[in-house]
Amino acid sequence: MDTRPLDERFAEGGETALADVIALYGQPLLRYCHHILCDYHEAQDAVQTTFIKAYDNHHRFRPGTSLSAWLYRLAYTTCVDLLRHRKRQLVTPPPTAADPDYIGEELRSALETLSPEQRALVYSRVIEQRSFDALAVIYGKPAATLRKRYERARKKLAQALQGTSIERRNKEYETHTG
Amino acid sequence: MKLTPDDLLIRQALEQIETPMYDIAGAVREQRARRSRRIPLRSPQRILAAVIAAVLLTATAAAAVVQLSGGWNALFGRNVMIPDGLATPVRQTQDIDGCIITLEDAIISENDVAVLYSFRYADGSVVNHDSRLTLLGNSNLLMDGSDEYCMSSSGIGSMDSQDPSVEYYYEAFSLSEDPGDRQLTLTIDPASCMEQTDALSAPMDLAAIYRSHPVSYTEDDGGTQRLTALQQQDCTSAVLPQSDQWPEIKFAGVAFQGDILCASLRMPAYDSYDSTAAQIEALRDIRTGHLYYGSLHSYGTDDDTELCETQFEGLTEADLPYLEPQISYRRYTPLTNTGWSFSFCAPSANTLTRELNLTMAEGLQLDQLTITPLGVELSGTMPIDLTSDEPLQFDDRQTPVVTLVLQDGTTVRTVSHSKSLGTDSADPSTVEFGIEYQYQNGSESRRFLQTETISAIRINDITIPIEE
Repeated sequence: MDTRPLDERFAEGGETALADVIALYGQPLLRYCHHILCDYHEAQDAVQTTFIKAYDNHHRFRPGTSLSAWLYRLAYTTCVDLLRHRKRQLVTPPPTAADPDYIGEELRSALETLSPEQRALVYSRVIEQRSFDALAVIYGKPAATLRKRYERARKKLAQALQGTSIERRNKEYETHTG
Repeated sequence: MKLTPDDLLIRQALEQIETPMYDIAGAVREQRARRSRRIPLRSPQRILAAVIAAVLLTATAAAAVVQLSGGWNALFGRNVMIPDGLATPVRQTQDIDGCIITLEDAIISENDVAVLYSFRYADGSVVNHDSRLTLLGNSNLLMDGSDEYCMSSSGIGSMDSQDPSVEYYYEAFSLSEDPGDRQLTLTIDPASCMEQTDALSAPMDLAAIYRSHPVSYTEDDGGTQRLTALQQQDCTSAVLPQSDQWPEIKFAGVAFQGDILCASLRMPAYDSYDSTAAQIEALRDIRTGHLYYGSLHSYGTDDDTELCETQFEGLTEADLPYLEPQISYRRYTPLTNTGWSFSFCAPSANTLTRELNLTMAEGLQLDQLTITPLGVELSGTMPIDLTSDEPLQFDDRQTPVVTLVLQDGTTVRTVSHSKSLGTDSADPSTVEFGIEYQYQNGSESRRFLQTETISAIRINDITIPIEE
């Protein structure tokens, strides 16, 4: 999909371009923030804030560069800010049946062994299957550095998943499918 | 990309995380509209979660503020500190159509007015629960009958833990003139409640609807163009669930925009006071039970209705016979026909303002310091990198650490709770900023201060004495 016309319209500003950018990138960014924050409702806040910052700073986006990478970087820094703020909060409401976080307890424990940057990297790499060169644009770090960090994060998360029901199901699936 | 066994295990784990669809465009639009109030918008579930948090917070709360409303504890922690005489008990109550608001207390300073008020139903019912939220209208502060003095406001709401039939609100209004001994009027617009259903299945033949008049959008098509195209489709067979209860909501049609499937509902224009709304939460594949979540998009039309469209990637015309929309409804119902209005008057507490000329790390230039009973504000300019394509934002590491020293030698910690960046600095290489800090009592509670009790302020490692 050629997003250049949309990128250019976004750089010029305007409500319609913002709506179109949200339509295109909103849900993927929400999923990305959800994986970093491990909290669906904070992810809602993060993605709102991301688009408001993006709209306020649209003139800083350079057409010809990747709007997707720019938005992901903005979402990442917004999530990190939210996590800093979370540390200062009085009470973090626990997930409940009425207010689920959509992440099982085992998986949450495993994900919380990673730093926010590691969770972001793992998600970008494993689910979105981005190349390290593409990740370098988002995170502003050399691809080789990110590769090493990803490998450390992968090892850590895989270890944390050992012995969980997720791993057992994975093994059963492999057995059944050969 | 070749995946290792560890990658596969991780992918399988992460794929279990469900991220439900959410009306991001609507939320962004509403938050931008309300931005001057700086009240973060939360999803209904989040508001309820905050309620639960407040319950936990105040379950063991001691009555630290004996003479003032218990709402201070509910909102700002069990050890909230308010000096004697700083807050004025107002205790005015108005019952409008069975909805009772009490203006409990106010803190008035030369720069700000902070009010604490509570809401309850006359019949004692719970204010918010899983499927119903109470929504108060916008509030405003008038001085001598005029709203021209109020520059901005910010606020929070919470619940009294031990009594879910009461909700407390705190709002601080920044004023352009000293409100001391002048007539102040707090107005609150009429209240409504919002009820939301679970997602309901809407069996219909999407393929037949699409074939009756295949519609293709372009990205540039607005609401009116989309609606005009969809009106050619035959949707008579598309009966929505509980349609007798939601007659204003109609299935509008199904179309493609490039390779994106777009399914739409038509409804009255959005109004959080008195309207109904709905959205297609997902499409269920009746062959596999799999739910496809899409992204939500809303369009206004020329006839004052709204087209709520959900866009799905990866679905084609061949999938249409097997897809079943999952729809949730929301109803906004007025609770009161009129709003509330409370008038009060009290002397103002002192505030301190100092011109500064301090250059901090990374070129941060501090120009002005304001200390009020509610907190501290620093303003100045910061350099910006004109060659950077990164969004302009305030890095937490740049935020100066502010501590107050009281005349009795004790210190008061602060936390920054709001940062703003302007875009109209006279020098294009700098940008104006403002940082607001609140006083803390311990790590969990807020405090308020009489400025007369402050002997000095520390900004990072610089101490500025406050003259008598």
